[in-house]
Amino acid sequence: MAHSKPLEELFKSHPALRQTLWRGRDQYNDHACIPTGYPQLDKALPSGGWGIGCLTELLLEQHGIGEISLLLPALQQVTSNNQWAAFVNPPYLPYAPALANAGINLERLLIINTNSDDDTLWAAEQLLRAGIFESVVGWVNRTTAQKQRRLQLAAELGKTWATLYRPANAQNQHSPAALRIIVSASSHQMTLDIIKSRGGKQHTVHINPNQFDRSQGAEWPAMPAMSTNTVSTNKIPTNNTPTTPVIRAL
Amino acid sequence: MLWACLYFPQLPIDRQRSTDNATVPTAVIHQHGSSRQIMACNEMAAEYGIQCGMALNSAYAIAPHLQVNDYIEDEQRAHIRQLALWALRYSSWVTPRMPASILLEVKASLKLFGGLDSLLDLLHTEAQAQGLHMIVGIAPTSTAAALFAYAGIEEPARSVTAMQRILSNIPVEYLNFDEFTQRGLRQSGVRVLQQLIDIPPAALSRRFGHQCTDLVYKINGTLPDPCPAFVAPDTFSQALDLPLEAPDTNALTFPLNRLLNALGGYLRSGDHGVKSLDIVLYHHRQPPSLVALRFLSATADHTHLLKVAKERLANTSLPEPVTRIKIKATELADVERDGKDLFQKSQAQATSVQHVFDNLMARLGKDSLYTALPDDDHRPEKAWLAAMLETKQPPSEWPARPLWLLPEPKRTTEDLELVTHPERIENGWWGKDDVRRDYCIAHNQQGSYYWVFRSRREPQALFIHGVFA
Repeated sequence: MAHSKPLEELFKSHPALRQTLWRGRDQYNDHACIPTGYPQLDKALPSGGWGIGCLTELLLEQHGIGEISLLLPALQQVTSNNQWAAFVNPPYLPYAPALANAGINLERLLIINTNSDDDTLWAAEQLLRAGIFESVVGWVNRTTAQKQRRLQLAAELGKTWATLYRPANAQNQHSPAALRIIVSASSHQMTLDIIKSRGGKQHTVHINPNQFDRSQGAEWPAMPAMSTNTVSTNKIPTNNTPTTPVIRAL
Repeated sequence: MLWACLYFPQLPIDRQRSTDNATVPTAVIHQHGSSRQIMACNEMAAEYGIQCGMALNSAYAIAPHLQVNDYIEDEQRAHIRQLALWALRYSSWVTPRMPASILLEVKASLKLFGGLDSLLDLLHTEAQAQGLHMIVGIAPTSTAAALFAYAGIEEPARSVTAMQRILSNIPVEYLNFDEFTQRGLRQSGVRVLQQLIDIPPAALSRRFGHQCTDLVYKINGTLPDPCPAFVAPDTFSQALDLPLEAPDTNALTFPLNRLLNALGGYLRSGDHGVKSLDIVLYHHRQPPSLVALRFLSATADHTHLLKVAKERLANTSLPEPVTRIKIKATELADVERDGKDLFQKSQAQATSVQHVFDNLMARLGKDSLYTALPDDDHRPEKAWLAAMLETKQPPSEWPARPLWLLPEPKRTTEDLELVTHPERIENGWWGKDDVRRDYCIAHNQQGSYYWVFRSRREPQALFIHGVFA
């Protein structure tokens, strides 16, 4: 967090002042957190990581820009401690080999498929309220501020790190979530716009994909050493000769 | 020994109740000699002035819209058996006694339930939750305990001296004598039990027959009063006729609670847990609907059972109102008792994880919860398994794989930029799922990364199979 310089200098010269001076952000600073695994993001968040007992909203323009990779270091930490994490209503099949590559303990990752946003929110609330899940990640399309508040309260009650993915067009809606981040991709980097942060301030963080590419395999995305062959769809050179002779069943 | 007699004076009417608050005066009648008499009535009827023992015609005169049901002895017997199953939770020695009481040996249970007072509190709370009127008599002999309960004396007699003190003032009318003996006692001026006890036994036998002496001896414990212990059956299947048709599943909660209470006691007595449970709802014309509950691990906790059943029923639509409800334990398993060990915390966490899972499964369906596990197959769609807290696979190293897999590969015409060399995946030629594909990582203009492939069969088409999230 960017501290105002003169105040910090004053604290250095008068250490006693630090205890006596009340600052608005202090009431959120003692929140427990899970480090995100990205130093620049940790710095930008008031609690120094994903807040436990807080609802985090990630607003997405599109899938496939590294939005889950953002959570993977924290999820890896949670599940490897044998704590439970849950994906509620993921948009696609969570692919076990990739998750295993990222070091996620798959036995501790519960995946729940639901049929409606209401069921998703209900299931997420149950999990948060139970207080036995360390992390709950959910995907919804439509929700209301009241429903979000229920989740935020459930997260506080269960002392759980709650994350909700919503479409980016929800950014203008009011939401009681403690942290709201717009996730977007721009030329070879991911941009996180923190539009709301309880106890912190608005901020923009850039994350280079190189920081998280290892989680889904060493080659993704384009490494500088990799030869990039740019071709259009219908002119891809096909390698038709199989490497080993294959007996085909009719 | 310390006996508790649970006496349900209003059992015939209590069992007719379908909800907590009655709105119509209701009574149960039985044939008494040549006339029909009120046997039990609800509060609403009592407010009109209807009393037990009143002739039906008099009752109709007071409350013309009185609803009347006949007393059916078989039903009462079934009810008493259900209550005996429920009572098995509190004692291993339970004796159901017709018409309306259950005897429990509680001395051995006191330590487990933290003393007599907390045990009585528990019994009363649960009886109230089932909508039952209950009077509990406590005495060192079973006959005395029953007598206390019939006389409505709830003061527990923990010792023989306390028992004798309380007994002395009980009117002889509460003793289970025939009409002739009762009249004889009245005419001799014997009003309370102490006077009866004071008569020398030989004289008592000569005057009123030996049954009178026997009873005095049984109260004192000199003569045994055999109470055969109730043995729970090997399987559990109990049904309840609903007094009023239940139009929706909300109205089923109350009767269901009673059946599950019986199930809870049954499971406790046998140290069982239930893994799967069928709830059968009978209708008038339609075939019965079946609601099957599955539990992740065996459970004997009746509140948990009720919670899961309610959640499940809330999502069930009924073709017709329900007239009868039956529950059947289809799979029993041994349950681990939550003992007081050092690692209790971890165990407690494990049980509540299962409770949460059961809850979720009840609403979302059995197959909506899983954990994904990588499997040993190179074909992408076969390289994972849905499992539930079971198998443990050694972690294996995979090349670059996307976090999201599409359920079916999707043909795309979007302009994509390929950023890796193709990776050939070829397998399954022996079966229907023959896969020969060259996989690449590609991204579009907006910066989304996809896992795409070209198939050998259609070299020109490009398919998206995964998303690098």
